[in-house]
Amino acid sequence: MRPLAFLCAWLALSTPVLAGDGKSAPKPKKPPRPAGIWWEKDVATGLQRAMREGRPVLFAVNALENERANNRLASVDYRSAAWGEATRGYVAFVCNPNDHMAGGAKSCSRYPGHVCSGHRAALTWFTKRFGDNLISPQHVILEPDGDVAYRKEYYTGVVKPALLEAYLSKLAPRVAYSRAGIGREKKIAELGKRPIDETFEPHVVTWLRSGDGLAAAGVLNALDDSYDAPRRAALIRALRRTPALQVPVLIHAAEERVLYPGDEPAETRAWIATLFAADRASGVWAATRALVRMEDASERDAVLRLWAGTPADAPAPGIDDLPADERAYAYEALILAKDRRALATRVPAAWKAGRELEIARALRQADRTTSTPVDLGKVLSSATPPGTVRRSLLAADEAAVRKAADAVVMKLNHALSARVRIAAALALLKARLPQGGAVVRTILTALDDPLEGTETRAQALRVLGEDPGPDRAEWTRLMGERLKGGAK
Amino acid sequence: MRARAILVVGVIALLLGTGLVSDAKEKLPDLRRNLLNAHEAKQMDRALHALTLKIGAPGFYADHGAFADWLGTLPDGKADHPLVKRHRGWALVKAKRGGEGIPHLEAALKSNPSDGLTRAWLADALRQGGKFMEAATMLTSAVQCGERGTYVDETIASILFAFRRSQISGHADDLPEYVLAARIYLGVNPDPKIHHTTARMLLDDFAVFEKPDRTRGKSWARAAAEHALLGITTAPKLIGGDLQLAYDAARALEAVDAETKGNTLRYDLLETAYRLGIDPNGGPHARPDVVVWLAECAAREGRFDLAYRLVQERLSISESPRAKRLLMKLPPDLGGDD
Repeated sequence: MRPLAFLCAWLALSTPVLAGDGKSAPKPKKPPRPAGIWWEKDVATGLQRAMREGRPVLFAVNALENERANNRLASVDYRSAAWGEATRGYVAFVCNPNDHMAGGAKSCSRYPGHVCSGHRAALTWFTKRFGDNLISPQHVILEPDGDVAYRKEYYTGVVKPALLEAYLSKLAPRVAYSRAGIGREKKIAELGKRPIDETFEPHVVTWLRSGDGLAAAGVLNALDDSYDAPRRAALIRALRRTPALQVPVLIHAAEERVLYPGDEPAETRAWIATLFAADRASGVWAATRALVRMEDASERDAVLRLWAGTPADAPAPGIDDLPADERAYAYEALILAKDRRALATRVPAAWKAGRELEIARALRQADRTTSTPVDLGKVLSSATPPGTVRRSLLAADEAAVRKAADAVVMKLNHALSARVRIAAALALLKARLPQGGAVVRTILTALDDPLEGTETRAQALRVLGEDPGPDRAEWTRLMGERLKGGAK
Repeated sequence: MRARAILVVGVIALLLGTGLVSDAKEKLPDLRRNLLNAHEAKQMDRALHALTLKIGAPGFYADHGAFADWLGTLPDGKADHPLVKRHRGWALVKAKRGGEGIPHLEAALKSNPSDGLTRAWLADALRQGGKFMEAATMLTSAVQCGERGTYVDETIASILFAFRRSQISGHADDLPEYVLAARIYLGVNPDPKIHHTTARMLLDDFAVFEKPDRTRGKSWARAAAEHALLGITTAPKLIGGDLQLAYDAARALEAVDAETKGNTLRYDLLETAYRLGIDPNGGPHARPDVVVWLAECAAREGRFDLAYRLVQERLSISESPRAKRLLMKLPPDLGGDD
């Protein structure tokens, strides 16, 4: 075989496509992604992705090219692996007005791997949102839904990978948990093997207080890998020293325990104690959720001891033993749990039996305490939106609706608000005031409404006194009968 | 069936033969003579119409302006005839010289006040003459006379755009005048597109000029919100960008008044935006931020079950610190298997 013929034959056999093995030719390899920050190319797509995937958004304004801090960030920090790793959980935009792709370059020379149209568009979006009077450099972190979580102008060294990771823990606990599983693998494994002795908890706390923004998420990874109770208890205890920015990671982890306290009562109590120590409001959240769901009064006593900060062998505290600004929360939870302490609490005589929950809820919303004398009417009116037609209409008795019939009928034809129309229809049904089929039509439509359907159904059932079931014809018949009956 | 088709083709051919083809053959002097010799209104109208068909044709009038100018030279008082005035005014509007056409169209209207089309032309002429409020009022009267259609729709939109361009909205004492003009028109023709346009323009001006804490800002935001809601709810999905419009209007209301509980208008806008963003195939909501915002409003109104459902919907899409914050404020019995 001559050399050329041999070459052709060899090519034909060795190249998959030519040899006909059904596989396509290997694609040219993409250049490896840079070690630094991966900048998002399109603002709208990026923001949508942040919302869809629950990722925080980083805007890095780097608009001055003759200034040292801007240039250092662009040429050193943003390109470093540390910044790159810290921002993998983010959707990141860099904002700069200039073009760095002269001579048909495919990539921006200032921000490798990026395109200049992307950083120009990002700057346009940024100035539209935050105004033209910009300071560069600056860093802004947005929540996935677009609220500003952090903003720092100038370059002072505060914004660094650890801070970005801490905000990842705050804003996207699940993403932070995953990132910690990858980036802190060795430390997590080490916590799983380390003996449980007097040095264990201080060792974990050292990590938590080291400035590592993913430390709490890392400890939670270790917790999920641990199955022995002493190790788990030690880890949960150590988490009391979690830095404030990373507390949301704990809430995410504790949620199941406080919503199902009967599954692991001891661990539930451990989590409540940890949350009270790490962040008071989170502790109140956990305690109230657990209290409502605990069937055993002694379990509730234990939670109240944690809340009041009294020893485990001390008598069970009452609501008045809790900090004043937290009593309303406990009062509401204990009423929901039908706990004797709630009923024994001193309340103004004007508070009628049967309305305790409503009052407790109003107090909690108004941030009042049960021990403070309150003007009940004032509290309730501040907790009840004055413009809520629905409530006032549905609260009214039949006679009141009939008296206000003209106003209610007008609301039935309200051009704008579906819920006002529905409320009017329900009120008219309640008062047996037929309006040429409009009442029935409105309620039937509302039953299938994605927002109003559930409540409309519940309200209508209360008015009708029986459940017509899924059959709409039966609903029509029952409502028609009630309306035909006329006002009594 | 076939015979009927042949008949239809025959009739069309006959019409073409007697109308267009014969017109095509007629020369300008013949057409002019027809007009000069016409005495009855019907004849005159026909003659004028035949001439208008020739505007721009080789050997005839170069453009509408030339035609209008020629009508002004008609002898024997013909130039002052209401029908001639009407056509002259129309031609001047077409020639973008509407300001000159105003007196001619006004004169034509005097002889036939119920002529909606002439009123619409006069509105267009007034717009070109920079008299925007009068233009909106005149167009409104045209609609009251039964005039409807694309020309009216386009004219009111042009009036509002031009009116807005002509004034610095930030200098208005209360609502910008283009909004007042729109309201005059919307009073007789509640066209959702005009509600939509008015809301969008007002929101854009609000974003540029307004400081949220001012009383005027509140009235702008409220007006924009009302127009947005009317535009969207009366013709949902007719016009693109409904969801964004509702969102922006709710944002404007929030900017001027974040605290008021039970802000019905803001709630209704968000509710509307929510409905528009529902995926009919059961996929995630198009705007997770709308879902959580509506949840916050529902909670503020004491509708905790709804707020909880919406928070869960938001969190089922992805993580949301905002939704989590709200979840922590909701009554403690919500959540878990309850």
